[in-house]
This record gives sequence, C-alpha cells and structure tokens, in this order.
Amino acid sequence: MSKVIDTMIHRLLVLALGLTCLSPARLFAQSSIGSAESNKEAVRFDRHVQPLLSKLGCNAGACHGNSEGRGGLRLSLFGADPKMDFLAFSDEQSGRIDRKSPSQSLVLQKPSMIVEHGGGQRFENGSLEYETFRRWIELGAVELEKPDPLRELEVSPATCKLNQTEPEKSFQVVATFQSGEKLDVTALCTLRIADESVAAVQKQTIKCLQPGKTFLIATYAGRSANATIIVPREREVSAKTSRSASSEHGPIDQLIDKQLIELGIDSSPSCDDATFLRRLRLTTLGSPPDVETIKRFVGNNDPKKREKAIDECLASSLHASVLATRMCEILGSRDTGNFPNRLEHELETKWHAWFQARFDRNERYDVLVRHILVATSRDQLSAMDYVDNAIHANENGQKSEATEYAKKASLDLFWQRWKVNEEVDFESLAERISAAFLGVRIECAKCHKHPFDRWTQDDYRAFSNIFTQVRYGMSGELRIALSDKLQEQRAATASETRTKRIPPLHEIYLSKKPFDFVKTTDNASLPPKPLAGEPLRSDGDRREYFAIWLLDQSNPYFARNFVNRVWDIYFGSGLVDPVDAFSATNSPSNAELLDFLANEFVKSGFDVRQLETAILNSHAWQRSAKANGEGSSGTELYARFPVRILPACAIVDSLSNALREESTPTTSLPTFAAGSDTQQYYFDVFSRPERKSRCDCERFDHPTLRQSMLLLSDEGLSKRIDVFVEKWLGGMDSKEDCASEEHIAELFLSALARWPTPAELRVAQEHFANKSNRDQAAADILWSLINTSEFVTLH
Amino acid sequence: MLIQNRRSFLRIGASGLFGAHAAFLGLSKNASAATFEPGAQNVILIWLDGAPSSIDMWDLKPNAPDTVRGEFKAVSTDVPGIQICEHLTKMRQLMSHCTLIRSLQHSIPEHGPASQLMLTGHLPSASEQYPALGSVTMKMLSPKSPIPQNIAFDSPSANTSGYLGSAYNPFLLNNMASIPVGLSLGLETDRDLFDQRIQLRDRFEQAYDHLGNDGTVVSLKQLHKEAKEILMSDSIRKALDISKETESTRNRYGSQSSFGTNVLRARRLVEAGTRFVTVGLSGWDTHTNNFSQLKNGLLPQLDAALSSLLSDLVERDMLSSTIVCCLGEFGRTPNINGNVGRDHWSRSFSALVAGGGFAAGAVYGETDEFGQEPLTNLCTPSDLFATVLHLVGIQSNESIKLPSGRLMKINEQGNVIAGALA
Repeated sequence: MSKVIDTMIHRLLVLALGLTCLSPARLFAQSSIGSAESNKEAVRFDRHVQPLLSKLGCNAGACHGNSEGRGGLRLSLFGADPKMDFLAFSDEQSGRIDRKSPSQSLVLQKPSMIVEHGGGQRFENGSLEYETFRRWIELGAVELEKPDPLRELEVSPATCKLNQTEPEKSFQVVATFQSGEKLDVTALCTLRIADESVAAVQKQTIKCLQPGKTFLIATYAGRSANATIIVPREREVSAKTSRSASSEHGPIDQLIDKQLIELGIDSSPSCDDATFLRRLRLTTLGSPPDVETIKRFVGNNDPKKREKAIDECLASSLHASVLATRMCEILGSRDTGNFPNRLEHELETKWHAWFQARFDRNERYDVLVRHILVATSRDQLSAMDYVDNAIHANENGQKSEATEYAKKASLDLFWQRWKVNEEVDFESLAERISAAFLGVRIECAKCHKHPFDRWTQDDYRAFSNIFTQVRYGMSGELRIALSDKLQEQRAATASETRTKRIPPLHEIYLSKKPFDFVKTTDNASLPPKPLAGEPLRSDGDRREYFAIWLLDQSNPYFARNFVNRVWDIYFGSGLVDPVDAFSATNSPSNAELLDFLANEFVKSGFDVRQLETAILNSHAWQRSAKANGEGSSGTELYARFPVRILPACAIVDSLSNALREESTPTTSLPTFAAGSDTQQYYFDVFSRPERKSRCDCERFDHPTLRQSMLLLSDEGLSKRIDVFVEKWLGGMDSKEDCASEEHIAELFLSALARWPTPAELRVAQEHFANKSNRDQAAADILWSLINTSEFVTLH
Repeated sequence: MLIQNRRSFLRIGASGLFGAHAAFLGLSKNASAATFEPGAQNVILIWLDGAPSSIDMWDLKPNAPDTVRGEFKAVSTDVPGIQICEHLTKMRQLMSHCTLIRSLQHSIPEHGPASQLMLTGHLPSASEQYPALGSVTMKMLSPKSPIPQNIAFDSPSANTSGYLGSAYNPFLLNNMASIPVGLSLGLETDRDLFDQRIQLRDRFEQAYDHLGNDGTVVSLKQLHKEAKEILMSDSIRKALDISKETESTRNRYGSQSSFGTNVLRARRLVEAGTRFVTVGLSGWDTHTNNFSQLKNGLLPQLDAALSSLLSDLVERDMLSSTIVCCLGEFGRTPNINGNVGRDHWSRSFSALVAGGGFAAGAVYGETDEFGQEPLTNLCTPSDLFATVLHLVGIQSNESIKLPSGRLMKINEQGNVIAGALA
C-alpha cells in the first residue's frame, strides 16, 4: 500500500515540478531516495514545512504572522520562532492536523479551500505544497530534531546566459546546513526576478524575455541568494567598443566595457569639452562654469586639460563643501531629537565646518569615520579645562564657533540626539550607523525578523548594544569640575573679584552602566555585536572595538559602501542602489567593478580624492548622454551618461550664473536654510534634502510639475532676466550687433555652458530679426534657454 | 493628455506583459480579473489632524456611565436609527448620503506613524517608503483636464508619494494666505508673448531630443507640456480663486477659518478636474477640555464645511462620482481623563465616508457598549485604503512598475469592505 502511495506522490511531485527528469527525492534529504523507511526522516518541519509557510505568505503580518494571529492560528512573523510555529501548526486537538487521516487536516483543507479559508486558496489539492504538508503529517508530524541551522544558500549556475538559441535554462538552489548536509530547496524557495522585463522564472527554469542583465533572487528560510542572468543582444558590438575593453583604458573602463560587450551594447563616445566642463563643475563644485572659463578651457590645446581640470576642481574648498553637505545629509545633521530648535542653525554650521575642514585636507576616510564613531565632547581635555573653555567661549561671543569646532578632534555632535534624561536614541543611532557606514538598513529588524534579509531582532539589539554606553549630559567628572569651579567662584565673589558666567554644560560621554537591550525570547543578556561580526568585549569603550572591526582592511562592508556612495554622487545611482540597501536581494549592477574600487580604495589608504580622480577620469564618466545605436537604454550599465535633475542648489546657482548676478554660490551654504526667501522657495520646490532621514531617501532627482511651472511662471525671474539683458545690451549699438554670432553664443554659454548649433543660431537670429525690440528679443531667448530640459539637468 | 506610467499605460502594459507571458508565468487566472466599472472619479479627503474623538462625533455611547458617555447628547438624524452628536447639526440632515464606518482598528496610537498607516495603508517601514492614497490615485488614473491631479491643503507630512517618486507628491498648499508664485502666469505676463516664448523654447529643446530614450528626458517633456497647459488655462489659480463664489456660499463653508475656505477650494478643484484633494484641519488632539474644544471650535467648523461640501456635491450631481472621506489618525479613549480630555485610542474608531459608490444612509460595524473594541465587521486602515482604490477603479493588488524596473504591489493586505458599498 505505502508503495502505491509513494508512486502516486512521485507522480504528483514530478507533475508539480514540471520536469520529468527530477526525482521527488531531490526535494527531500538526499539520503532518502527509495525506501519508505528512510522517508520518515525525509520531510522535516524546519527544512520543508516552515520554509513553505514563508513561501506561501502564511506567516506574513497580514495573515497568521499578525501578533493576534488570524482565524485562531498564530505563527511567528516571517518564521522567526520555529518552536512556536511547530507547536501551533501541529496542534492536533484543534484539528489542524489529523495524524490518522492526514487529508482531513485543516492545514491541508483550508489553504486548498476544501474548507472555507479567510486567506483564500493558497495551493491546490495535490500540489507540491499540499503533498509536502500531507507527507509530513502522514509521517507523524514529528517535533524538530536537533537544530541544524542553515549555513549557506547557493544558486547554481551563478551566472546564467540566455539567448535565442538557448532561451531557457534550469537552475538549482542548494542549502548547506551546519552539519554539512546539503539539500536541493529549489521548490521550497520564493523565487523572484529583479527586473521582470528581462527574464521570467517558473519552477526550476529561467526563460529570457528581452536583452538585458538582471538577477534571480531565491529566498529560503529567511536567507537569500542570487544568480546573474545575462541576455545579450544578438549582434556584434562595434570594433571601437571592443577595442577599448582590451588596451588603452584603465581598469574601471575595462570592467564596464567587458559587461557591455557581453551584453552586446555599444557605448557612447566621449562628450565634448564644453559638456565635460559643465558636468564636472556641477558635480564637483555645485555650479556651472562662467563664460570665460568655458572659452579658456575649450580653447586650450593641452591634451591633459581634462585631467588638470579634474584635479583643480577636486582640490577646491567648494568641493569640500559639497562633500561636507553630502555627509550632513547621510548622517542627518538636522535630526537632533529633543534638542531645542533655535540651536539648529548653529549646530548645522558646526557639522558642516567639521567635515569641510577634513575633506579640504583630504583626510583618510577611515580616520574621519573613526573620529565620528568614538567621539566624545571633551576628547582628551580634562573636565576642568572643558569647563574653562566653555566659560572662555561664552565670554568671547559665538562668532568663530564653527571654525573652532572644525578643529575639534571628534564629531560629538553626531551623538547629540537627545531622547530623555541623559539618554540618546541608541536605536536610531544604530540604524544610522548601519545605513551610513555598512550600507545596510536594519530598521525592519527592530520589531520583527527582517522579512527579506538575514537580520533578526536579536541582531538588531546586539548591534544597538555597541552604543548603549553613550550618554548626553553631565558625567561624574564634569559634575565634580563644575562644583569645584562654583566654589572657586564663590571664593572669588567673597573677595569681590568679578566672576565669569558658567554657561549650561552638557557632554557626550561614556557611562559605566550601559542600558543594554536583552534577548527577545528569554531576556538573557546580549553582548554587543556588529552585524555579521563576532561579539565584542562588553567592558571598556565598545565603540572603540566596533571602530576596529569596521575600519579593518578586510571588513567587507565599509570600503564597498563608501566607494558605492562616491559612485552614486557622480553617476546619479550606485552600483548597488539604493546606496544603503546592500543585501543578497539587491545585487550590484557590476560586482567586479565594485570589488575593484573597494580594493583600490583600501590599498590607497582610504584616499577619497584618489578615488574621485579615478572615477572622473574614466571614459565611462566622460561619455556623452546620447544613446549610441539601437536601444542601448542601459544607463545603469554606463554605456552612456545618465541624465538627471540638478540639485536645488545647482538650480539656484545656475540661474544666478546665467544672469551674472553677484552672489555667493549656495553650494557653499553650510545650512539647509537658504539666504533669501526666493532661494528658499526654489529649495523647497526643487527638494533640497532635509538632512533628517535615517535612510538615503531625501534626494529626489526626478523632475516635478511644480518645478516646470515655477520656471515658466516666476515673474521675479522674468524681471531678473530683463535687468540682465538691459545691462548686457547697454554696450551695444545696433540690433545687428546684438544678433551677431558672438553675442548669441554668449547667451548660450551663460545659460547652457555651450555654443549654439548652426540651427539654433539661425533660430535666435531670426528671432532678433522678427522682434522690433532688441531687449525683448534677448530676454525671450534667455528665458527660453532657462526653460529647456537642458538647463535643469545634468547631462 | 496621456501620461505614461499612469493608468492607461499600466493597462496596456499589463495586458502586454500578462498576455504574452501569461502561459509561462501561470498568471492567466488573474489577467481578466478587473472588469469592474468604477463610479468614482475623484476623492476629497478631510484629514482631522491630531486624531478626532469619534466617540463624541459618530459613535456616541448614551447608555454608558458618565466617565465614558461624556457631555454630548446623541440625536437622531435623517436616517432612522442612526444617531450622531448634537453639535453636528447640519450633518444630521445629510446622513442619508453617508456611511459611518464604526469598526476601524489599528495598533499604533502615535500620531506620526499612525498618519503614515492611515494614509498609505501600510505599517511604516524605513526600508520602503509607501505612497499615500492621493499619490497612488494620481499615478494610476490619467488626468481629466490640465490641472494638478493631487493637491493638498495643510496636509500631514506623511502625505507623500514615497517610492513613486516626487512627481506624484501632492501639490502642497500649506498656510495658504495668497496664491503662491509658480501657479499662475500672473497679471503682468502677456499670454501671447508667453506662447511665443514657449515656441521658441521648444525649438531650442530639439537639440535635447536625441536623448529621447532617457527616463528623465521623457518625463521632463511631459511635464513641460502639462505645465504649459495648466498655466495657459490658468486652471489652478481660477479654481483656487473663491471670489467667484457668492458671499453666502463662502459663509456657509465657514469663511472665518481657512479650513472652510480650503474645503470650498477643494470642491472647485474637483469641478475643475483635480482627482485627489486633501484638506487638513488641526487641533483634534484633545487631551484636555475635549468637550469645550469640540463644541466651541472644531465641530462647528467641520459641520459647516463638510455639510456644505456634501450638499453642493449632491446639488451638482457630483456625489456619485466623488468620494468624501473624513477621518484622522485614530480615535480617543472611551474613558475621560482627569483633564476632561480623552487620550489616544486606536483599538476602535470611526470614519465618515460618502459618495463614489459608498452606501448611502448606512452604518458599517459596531463597537461594544463602552466603545472599546469593534464587535462586528472589524476593518483596518489597509481595508479602507483598498476600498477607496477599488471605487476609483484601481485594484490594490495591482503592481506598479517603478522607473528602476521594479514591480511594486500597491497593497496586498487590504480587503475591499464590500459591506460598506452601495
């Protein structure tokens, strides 16, 4: 009898898998092929049943993973607690399972809608899921054996190349457990294609849909693994592209071109000098070049002029300001917790100055980060000196505070995010540090197991425990110093000497009594532990131990995260994108390139400027934004330069540049707030990042309706154009003079940083000819140029 | 105007993708799912910021002890059996057009995250920024006329487009005293000259056309077109200009408060073709003196504006195509605190909905005798989210394709509240 059933199951499974070559035994432990006896160990709750509960969505928050459960059945959210799930799922009294007649079990009848199920039909009678559950019950629905956790998950082949002659390929997902046992879990995984326009997945097969590159992501028991899918265009790339991959180019270009050739995509040629200069200035300095600079640069015959221009820009303090602003955004300089708002402006200025000074002197990035991570307010100062300094600063006014702060060794402001009493917000700091320096978002794990990443609530808490010694308030030492000072002052008052006022004092310091988070299940203590690292020592300065772990040359996260962020600054998106979402479910678009950049960065001694120099000198960055050849849309593969909307600052500065207004570039502003109402209004409409969010989600480089409407209808802007035109035309005699090639070129250079094409020149000259009023004609042209897509984008 | 990525696009995209690969993907069952003909075209969301005491407004407990019942009487309305607060005098006459949902529940009694939950239908998550209802509506439905499709007055900060990108953020009009720069060409601008300038601009734009297959370039092109049409028709300024309304109308909505004015503007915007308007009214966080605050300020303002809106929509025969939805983050504690206030309570609260396919003159769900918990028909913010989308013709299990190529399901958690529909 059991043989007959086995054969039936075999058939059903074969059908369900859709592949006759597969044995159902593949699904179960590898030792189990054949005999019914060994099959008793075959279907395991932890390896088969629970992963299916995740795959089917049963343990999601909206279903049985809800803290209240659904329909009486409560599972742990995303399968965080297998023990609890086993007890709930195998409850025979409530009829969920029926060991005597398995097919009467509710866990089979409800999801297959034989009995009404609030969650609808999850599988069909006879499906692979149905059969797995049934088999598990039939075999006694046994309790878990000794735990054998998952060690590794792998998809093979790791790269899958498909084309018209071979449009489909099968693959396999294999789990390796601590014991070394391996299991083919393909049918138990949630399978997803990152870009569903390139390929589709069904059962064990990937099928190509259109040329491109994407990933297959397999999730099993809370862990994910992926494989690269490549669908090349059926054509030869031009000789130029293939030649460039081999020889003269640097390693960045070789790695990019290798991918383009593999996919059959032609790269675009280098952009012209004027476009290069505008692009360079806007990304490194935040504002476009003026007319003279463009003329000088384009007219220069030095073959090394681009390299030289890059060096010059990167060495500029305006560039240091741009990077400082970016760091303030990443680290959330305006998210100050319960700090009084009126101080915001002052604090922001200090933050910015601290970073600007460091980028100005091109400080090693690991050193810079170290001084954030282990920051205290006093650094090496004694408490008494700290008090004296504060009194001194208070006496001498606040003016030079930011400059002074820039000289301070460590950025204690990073930690000044007040919660209650002397507590800072440890969890928010942990989330920030994880996102900023590891590129990993762990917020989800705060309340439950991360739904698509490996992090558990305990990982989150152990990570937070690295920071639970930090306090913002008055340390014992500071209290003593203050009371000594007060006594000193009292004595002085008695002898009628004038005393200096002591300002209110707080400091970031480490407490000997950390407010540690405990384990979710049994309130046991959790030693501080970096994500995916070994536990750290609990005594002494935990942040120091963490810094050692993080900044170690072999740390897989730190350098990769930073080079990816720098790549994002220059290309508008990271090799991993979003930049703070490193995860097995979010593969880099060019993994080799990311590794290469990270290794070079480490080898160079974390030299930020050297990294930027390498990126900016690459052919990839200097490519035209024009597509070359048919359908090479793949901007993410860097066949051409991706177009994006300029940041708010750059828009404001481009306007004043085009109108030759004397004004300080807003790029140099240390604060979020602008200098004038008009600027602020433009900041709002063009979404200047607020420097508050914990993730990289404040930057919008997508255009909006409001932006287009504003530039079209701002009467203030029209007036500014009129003022410029009047001044500009003041020195010219006749209308013909204004309409000369040279003068029209000047308008184009001011607004778009390039010369007009012959067609554009003709249009402009016609416009002058048709208009009786030359001021009007010039204003029309400038207004029109400002309202082009070209003006508001980086291209 | 045909906007790519919006509904029309999605429909084509969906049939294309599913049609061609349905067999392979095994999705043929879902492909023919949505043939429902939506009645609703527009949504007006009245957002009571701070969490309204719905137990004193829509779900009174006249038989509960003093400590719960509070100071207000429950009075009958134009629908037999439905009672509401005595201080909503004008709304009493209009309940025959509304549905009271008395069985909402969620688990976050904190303003910030709860407004995210109510507006997006999702629990807040830092890794995923979910779009609010207005942004989803704007994304999925094609515009009816050249006017911004998602507009918000004094809107909560959670009312954002999330992963849909800033193009779908509401057109924010906060603390609007006068019409801000950038909505209208203004009096000094010569329309003919503007048109000439645009033509000139378009000729200079041609150099950029060869970048045509770049996503940013494509959307800029569309936005340029929209912006021009909106400005030329002066649609948004006209809609916002309430001097066109009679004085008695303005007074009826409540001309004393900007809220009344904004609700009137909301009606005008919807008439002009805006799909989704949010109007916020703050001050509902009544931890102290709940009853005097409600009676003297909040309820009269709400009563005047909401009743005027509903009766105007009825009179113009627009209620069948316009959903009106009035709610806040959560409700307030059934037990009155020591400061004659009520604190945060998310375990049960009510919302008023009307029009666009919601039932008329109905109550959905009920709470226990003290208003602590829903007894029947429990529904969640996701359910309400899914229901509103359903009425405007969007299936919330539909996927949106993001510019990055990623497909996002709008909302998998909500179920349409069939019992609250007409």
